[in-house]
Amino acid sequence: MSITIINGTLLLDSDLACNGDIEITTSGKVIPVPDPDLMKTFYSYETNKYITANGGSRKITSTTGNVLINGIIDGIGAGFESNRGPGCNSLLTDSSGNILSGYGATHAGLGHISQYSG
Amino acid sequence: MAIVSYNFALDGFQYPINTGWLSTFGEIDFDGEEPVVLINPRYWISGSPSNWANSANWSETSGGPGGATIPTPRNVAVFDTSGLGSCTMDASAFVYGIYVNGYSGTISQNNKDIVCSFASFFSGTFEGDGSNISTATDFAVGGTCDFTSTDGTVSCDGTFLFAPSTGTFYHNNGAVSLDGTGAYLNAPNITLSKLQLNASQARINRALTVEDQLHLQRGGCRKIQPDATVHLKGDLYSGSNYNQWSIFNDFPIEFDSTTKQTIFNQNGSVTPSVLVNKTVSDQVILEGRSPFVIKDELRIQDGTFNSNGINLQVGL
Repeated sequence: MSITIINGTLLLDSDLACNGDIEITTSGKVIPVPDPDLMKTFYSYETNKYITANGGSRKITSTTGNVLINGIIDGIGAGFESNRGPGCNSLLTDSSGNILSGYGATHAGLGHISQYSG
Repeated sequence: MAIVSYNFALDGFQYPINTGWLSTFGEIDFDGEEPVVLINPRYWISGSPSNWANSANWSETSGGPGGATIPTPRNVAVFDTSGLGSCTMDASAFVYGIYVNGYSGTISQNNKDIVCSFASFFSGTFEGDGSNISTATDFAVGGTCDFTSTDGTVSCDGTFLFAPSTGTFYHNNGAVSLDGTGAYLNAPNITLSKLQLNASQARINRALTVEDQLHLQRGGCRKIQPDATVHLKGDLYSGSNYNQWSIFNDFPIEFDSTTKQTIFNQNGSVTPSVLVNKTVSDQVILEGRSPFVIKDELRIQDGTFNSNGINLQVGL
């Protein structure tokens, strides 16, 4: 079985899939990177429109293991204010393919996910 | 190390370089347990600096009279204690082998190709530049030899051995390419400029450093010892034909330089384990085709890994 361990920083403007566990350690950070053009115009959109317009959700998927998050997934790190960042488009998917509740597109303006183990 | 010389009547017969013919008589063995076989040797006898392509500098016996033929693909060119003059290659060397042991002079490649079945440098100085070195079997640097490699490519189909006592290996910004099936890089802690893995079932014995470019060109490679990591200071080129994996012991690549490093990913490539272990401000960035497939493990220990719009797939 494969494994992904993030103790440093992952700039993620794509999807990450692992055939095994994914762990973001307490020092680790995932920064979901937005489309640069959307980033320029983001503040003119309502949050929901942005999410729709973006259409580029970042997915972190463990296909056969667990996603263990002790660090942060941080839209602020990409240059967005809290509750306005592209992290709101991040999808965390468990081993059954279920999106972890509270951390999907409906969670508008995600700044951080931390201390979450699932 | 025992040396056995064989002299055969080979007129009219061109020995193929890559058939392993030598093994009929015994393998070159670098630990001294078996004799070194020197087939149809031509001994360098010059006591003063001179050129390769001069029959007066070559003898059929060690320290014997000159005038033998210049080494051909049927001969092993031998540099020993009987001729300590430096040798400048004024012609390309197409020989069965090159064997340097006991010699204390300098061999200058001088922009000339070296094509042979094997090459063994155990003493003296080799100054490479300008052209390629190709061995159909083993390439060895050991003992007291100070070896400055070519700034072209050393292509090795057998074992690339680096086992010095006090000798050194300087890469000279050239490349080392493992090209033959089962090719073996047995060079603990060596520092290379460019390493190209271009062989099925290749193997790496111990940890090494690649300063500029690691090319995963074709086939696959596994590690022998647990610490057999490639410490990469430059960029990774992950090629579309590098995906023939054994099921265990793939070697990891550790990105640990203090500058930005790039992974150039081609469609269909499979990269072994990736470890990012850089200072926090540094970055490894992906370029090329999506997805970037890592066979075993992605570990971002320190520093930043930038997926740059390319999907990451860990595991097959």
